[in-house]
Formats: sequence, structure tokens, C-alpha cells
Amino acid sequence: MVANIVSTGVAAVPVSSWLLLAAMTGIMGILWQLFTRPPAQPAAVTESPKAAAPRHLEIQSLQRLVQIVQHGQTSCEVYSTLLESAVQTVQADAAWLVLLPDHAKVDAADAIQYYNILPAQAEELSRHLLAHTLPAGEHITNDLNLRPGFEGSNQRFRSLLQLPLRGLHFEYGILYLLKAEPHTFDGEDLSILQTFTSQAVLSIENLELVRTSLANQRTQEELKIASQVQDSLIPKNLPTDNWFEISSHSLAAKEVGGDFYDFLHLPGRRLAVIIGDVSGKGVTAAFHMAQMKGIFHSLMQENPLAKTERDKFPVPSRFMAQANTALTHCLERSSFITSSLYIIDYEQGGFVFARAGHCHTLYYHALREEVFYFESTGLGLGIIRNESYEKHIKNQFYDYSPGDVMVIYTDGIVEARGGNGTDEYGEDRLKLRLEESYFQEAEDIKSFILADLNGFTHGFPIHDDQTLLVIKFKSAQPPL
Amino acid sequence: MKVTAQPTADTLTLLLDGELDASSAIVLDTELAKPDILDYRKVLIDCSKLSYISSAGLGVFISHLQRFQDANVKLVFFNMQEKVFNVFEILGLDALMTIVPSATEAEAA
Repeated sequence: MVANIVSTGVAAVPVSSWLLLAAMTGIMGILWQLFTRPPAQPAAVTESPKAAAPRHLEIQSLQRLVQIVQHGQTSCEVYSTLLESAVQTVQADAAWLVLLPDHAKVDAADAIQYYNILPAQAEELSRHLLAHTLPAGEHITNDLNLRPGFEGSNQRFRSLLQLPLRGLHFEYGILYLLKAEPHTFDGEDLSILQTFTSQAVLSIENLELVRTSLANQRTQEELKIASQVQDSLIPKNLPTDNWFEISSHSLAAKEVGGDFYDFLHLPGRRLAVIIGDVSGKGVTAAFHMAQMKGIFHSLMQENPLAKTERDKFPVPSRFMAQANTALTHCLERSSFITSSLYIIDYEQGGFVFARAGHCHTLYYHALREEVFYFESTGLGLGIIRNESYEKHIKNQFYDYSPGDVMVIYTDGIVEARGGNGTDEYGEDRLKLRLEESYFQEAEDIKSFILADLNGFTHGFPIHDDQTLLVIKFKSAQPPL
Repeated sequence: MKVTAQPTADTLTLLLDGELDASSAIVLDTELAKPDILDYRKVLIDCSKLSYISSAGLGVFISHLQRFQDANVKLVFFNMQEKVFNVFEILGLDALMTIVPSATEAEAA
């Protein structure tokens, strides 16, 4: 509901201004015609009430057209008003309007509109006119009975006015007007009706513009919603405990992205941390990101049949193998996901992780006062789609000490471009920043790295989603 | 990116020139998807002029990997710049695909 209200509200300004412009163009033309037009019957010396009548009708028709511009909701309404106004303005006895559905934006069922003529009659006339090659475009026939092909046919209607509806790129259809008496249409009629048809075409094109613009706005609104939904998938409340600090950052290159991270407290002061990156960007990646989050939460469920405490939750390599299987049937063949899963165990003072093709983990080792990248092998998810995947993924165990810092990120960080536009931020620069900031709080380390990254990429649009997590291990304070 | 195909009797060499990203991936995919490519014994990918590969670029190779294996066509990469090799390595593809230093080794592979 909110989206609808917003989109209508935003669209209101351009819509009304287009329509106003269209109306003005039409009105100016019609007014010019009305005021420069000589009396309908030039032979009459004084303007009789009869001659004044059509002008009154023209003004009414003009009002009607203006109305359709302001209120016309569908192309069908525009066409029927055009037909009605045209008939009344030139006082036609019969008329029909043939539309080309594709261009005229009407349903096939509405492609022909009739006034005071039976479809069969109109069709027969059309056929006749086509068979006897009436020149394309606007045309007046003074006496149909004298036209080649119609000789001696004793037509009910003798005068015919034919007028195409031309848009900028296409012809929308043809308007036919008939009068019983011969020699009853003149150039003036043609001229004013041309203004009417251009006005109608303009309205149709405006309606189309409005429709496209509304559709675009709707897409934008939907993307905004998708963005909000995705935002809700990213954990807002980072896990807290007295033995670690976590700080996180994520930024999508488009409205929605393919990066994800999540946390889960496991029994026994253990914490599962996952990060991942779906290949590609935008909506497709966002769907898989959401799926991956679902896989994480469903696989990280306690297995009640487990024999030992440790087997209750899958170890990272087992998790990756199961996730790979789960993704097999829903990831398109050219897509893959990189991910790392860490299970940190405070009781043991260590962690185990598996890297499925994801960026190397950056680590500060407090006792050795050294910053390094974990060098481990592991294949991305969705690349091999059979049982043999498990051979390509390994667990790595590591004991940590208080003061150690772990930096987990996606390639949007290290592959961010800056400098001359081809330089990448790179692993080396990231490592240098940790060497300069490891002693700070997790939040400050993150800000320090991001400030440097933003300085590097200044002036370049971000071309990939960026995620950065900083985890700092602390000596646990005894609970108060 | 430009893809130049150099066929010999049993080997097809594809020279990739430029950046392999989402937009250029289509060009390469068209080339690799040709049915008669499976008639070759080996497909060598010359990466000497490949300056960048995105995940979409990797996706092209990944999506054809099984098809090549099933048809017993060897896919060999050579002359890969370090930066590009790192991308293959991080994803774990170096364990799955044959990547050799030079054309001589590629031909011998």
C-alpha cells in the first residue's frame, strides 16, 4: 500500500505537466482554427443562426477533447471521444474509426468503433475503398457515386472524409466520416479534424508515456522494497559477549546485492560466523544470498541423534558439502557462491573454519605480533555439483589468544578500484592497515580500514558489493 | 574483450585479449558453446592478454567444465598473469583446471 501511494504521488507531477502541455498544444491549434475560420457557408452574406451552430458545436467538441486530455484514463476513451467530437463538429451522418491495435494501444476487440453505421456496411465500404485505391492519407470524396468502382452503386452516403491518425512513429488508424449529401465536406472540415486527430494521438502517446513511467516507478519502488527486505536479512544486532568484539560493514553496489554474513550462537559459548558472496550482482544474486542464509540456519540446527557434543552441529567442511548439495538444483550453471564458515569456541580458545573459494582470512596474531593471511585451499560452492565436492574442502583449526584480530571480507573490498581506475585496493594494502590498527577496538579497526578504502576509491563508483567484518578476541571478564 | 580463435588439426587455441567481465563473458560463452568445439582434443586458453577476470568470466569456464570433461576435451590455460591466477586460485579452480605457465607446456599437456 505504501508503495502505491508513494509511486502515484511522485508520478503526479510529470503526468499532469505532460498532459497540460499536450492540452495547450491542442487548444492553441483549435483556437487558431476557430478564430481564423470563415463562416461555414461562404455564400451566405450574413451569418445565419445555422452557420453559427457548427461553431458552437466545435467549441463543445473542443471542450470535450480538453476534458479527455485531462481525465482520459484509457486509449479507448480517447478514441471514442475523438469519434464523437469529429461527428458532431462536421455534423457527419455516420462514421467509423479503424485502429491498428499494436500501435493504437487498444485491444483487438476495440479496434473498430462505429457511429450510426453497421459494421457490415462499414466493412463493405472499407473493402471497396481499398479495392479502388483511394490515395493514402487525408482525403475528401465529394460524391462516392462518381468514384471509380462506385459508379451507379447508389450509395446511402455520398460524401466521405478520410483521415489517418498519425503519431510520431506510426500510423494509429484511420477515421472515416460520411454524409448523405454530396459535396458536404470541405478543406476547413479536414483542417479542424486534423487538429482533433493530432490531439487524440498526442493524448494516446502521453498515456503511453505515463504508463511506462509508472511502470518504471513501480520497478523502482519494488527494488526499494527488495532492498529493505534484504537489509532485514543482514543481522543488525551483532552478537555480544565478553570474550569478543565484532564490528561489521556492508554496502551493496546496486539496490540489492549478493554479499551476506550472519552469526549464530551455539551452545557452550560457541559462535558460528558465516560470510559469503554470490557471483554476479543485483536481484539474482540477492535471491541466492537469501537462500544461502536459509541454508545456513537450517544446516546449523542441533542434530538430536549426534553421539557426542561436538557432532551436534556440522563442522565447517561438512556444512560446505551439504550447502553445495543444497545449492546444486537451484543455482544456474554459471553461478557460484564463495563462503567461509568459522565456528569459534571460547571454551577451547580456538576456532575451526572452512574456506569455500572465499577471500583469504586476514589475521593478527597478538603473541607473535604478526599479521598474515590464512593460506588454505577450498573450492567455491556450486562449481562441482556432485559428491566429489567434499574432497575439495578442508577444515583448518587454529588456537587464538586474547588480542588476536580476524578480518573477514568479500572481494568487493580488495578488488575495489581507485587510482587510475584499474588499480585494485588489494590484499597487501588491507594487510598494512591491520598492521597499523590491530591494537584498536574492532569498531575502530573497521572504521580505519573503511576510511582508507574510501580514500583509495574516491571518485569511483563501487562496482561490487562490499562486506567487512572485524572480530577481536578478548580476555573474558568474569561475569558480574 | 576480443576472442581470437586459432584452430589446428586437433587443438583450438583461444586468445583472450582484454577484461573478461559480465559484458564480455557472452562473447566467450558463444565461442565455448559451439558444438564443434568438442571435436578438438584440446582447447588451449591463451591468457597472456587477459588483464582481468570477474566472477561472471569465471562462471563461463565453470559452466562448460563438465561438458568438456564429458567429451574428453582437455581445457588448458596458459600464460596467465599473476593477478588473474590469484582469482582462479582463491576460488579453488587451480585444483580443478589445468593451468600451466607457457604455450610449450600447454601443448605438451
